[in-house]
Amino acid sequence: MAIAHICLDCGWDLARVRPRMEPYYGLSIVRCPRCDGASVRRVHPLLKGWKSLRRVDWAMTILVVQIILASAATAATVLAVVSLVAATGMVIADKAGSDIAWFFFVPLAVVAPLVGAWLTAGLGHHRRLIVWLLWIAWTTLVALVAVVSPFVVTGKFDFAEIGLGTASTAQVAIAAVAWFFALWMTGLLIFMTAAAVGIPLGMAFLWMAARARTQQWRWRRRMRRKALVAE
Amino acid sequence: MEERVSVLVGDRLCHKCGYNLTGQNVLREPHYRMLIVRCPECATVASVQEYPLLGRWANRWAMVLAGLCMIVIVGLWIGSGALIFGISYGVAEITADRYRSVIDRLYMEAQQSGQLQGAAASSPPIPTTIQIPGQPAIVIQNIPGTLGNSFGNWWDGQDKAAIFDQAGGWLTVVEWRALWIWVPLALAAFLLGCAWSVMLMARRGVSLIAAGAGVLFVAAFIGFFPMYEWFIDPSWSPSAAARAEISPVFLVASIVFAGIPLAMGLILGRRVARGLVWLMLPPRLCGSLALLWMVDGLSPPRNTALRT
Repeated sequence: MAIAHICLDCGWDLARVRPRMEPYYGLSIVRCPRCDGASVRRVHPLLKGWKSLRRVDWAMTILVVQIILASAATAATVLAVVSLVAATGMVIADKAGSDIAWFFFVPLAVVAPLVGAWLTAGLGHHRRLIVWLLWIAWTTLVALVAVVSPFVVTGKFDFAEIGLGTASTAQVAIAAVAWFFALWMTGLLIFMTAAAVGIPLGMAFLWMAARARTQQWRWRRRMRRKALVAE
Repeated sequence: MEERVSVLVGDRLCHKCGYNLTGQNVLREPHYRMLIVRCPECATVASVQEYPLLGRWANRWAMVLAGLCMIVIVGLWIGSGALIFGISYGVAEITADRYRSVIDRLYMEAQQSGQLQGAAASSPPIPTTIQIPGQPAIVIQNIPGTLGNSFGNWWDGQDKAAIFDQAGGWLTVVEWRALWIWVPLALAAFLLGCAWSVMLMARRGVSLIAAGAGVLFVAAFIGFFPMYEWFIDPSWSPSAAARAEISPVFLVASIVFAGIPLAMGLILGRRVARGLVWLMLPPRLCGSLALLWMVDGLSPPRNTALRT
């Protein structure tokens, strides 16, 4: 049985009166059969609370997914740039194997466009230039901690693999960090240039999501109008 | 005189006795001209402008849900303290590693010195100088009749303070690089503080810090058990002997250190959460989490110059 809903004008119980969706405001209006007074069908606080909970749940789900994607994109960016720098070093030192091309192809043709697509679609509610600058700063910070900290903790700075010699003094540590920035920023700028390919991918995703939402709302409106006409 | 205006045809439970008032007359009372329904069982007046009562079971389920939430929060509280303890315990163990290897080496050298082979059990202790490469010379007391027995018997006869000093003291025998683990400890404590700051949204200031103290209390309580073990039986192995000397200090220091980023996380946690929500979610979804702003008296987010 429906929950009691009293007309505040005349006291008639509107529980058995079917509400209609008012087309102008989109409100669920109930007309009192006795005094013709209009009341909005009240939603019980329990149902209102349930709907709020679902909205919060959806927002939290999106937030968690965004954090996971951000972590994955961060790791992918750092690994891809380090791979680019290492592969370039190996080519320069003439130590590259036959599969060296993959160390350029995967970061630039696969990882970079995906990261660019996520930056465009996932953070599309912010200005693109700001997002990309912040992304460069964020990945540089992460790389500084991830790549440099093992050397700092162990106290050894062995760059023999790329021909810079072996050292363990604080002065060479500063030089190593300077080298890191030079190599990292070069690799990162090349990576971000390739990531620009992902911008149309991200925009296409945003367009498809907006279109899907619009289609859903249109379908709901169509269903409501059909229900009104049927009555 | 109460005026009868209609009959209740929907469901409405009396908020006093739970009797369903459907079929009862809706009356307009004379004093306030308010619409009311009287319960025929207990004569309680219900103002029909309010939402109908859900019933007793709604409150019961609400209490069950509240109880489950409480259990989850207590579980998270214990888990947070256990996490801080776990990382601090790792620091405490690793800092004693270098001294463990020194004691282990001393014991092996004492066994290999051969001075006590065939010595009488009543012979006095024989001071023996051991030189470990990379370490200062250390004088130990080789007690007749104890070789071949457990490490504990040998270690109990030693002057532990003298060995510690001769090995180089705190600056030399402690594995100070273990303190790099304080970096992930600080990060974990800060994130825990942020999480608690959001979970305890109704709390501010000193009460939030008190919640952080509760987490540290759990860590310290759990830490009591390994410390008890270190002090009760420190001689059963070189590891135990080294930890008894060094680990308690670093366990306490690590837990105390974790309190600083934990407090920072508690104070800054809601700001961090707000920033994360603002950064990651589009404006239409931020409204669902507007509570994060409103709880601190701030306006929920709106489109700003940074946003498109």
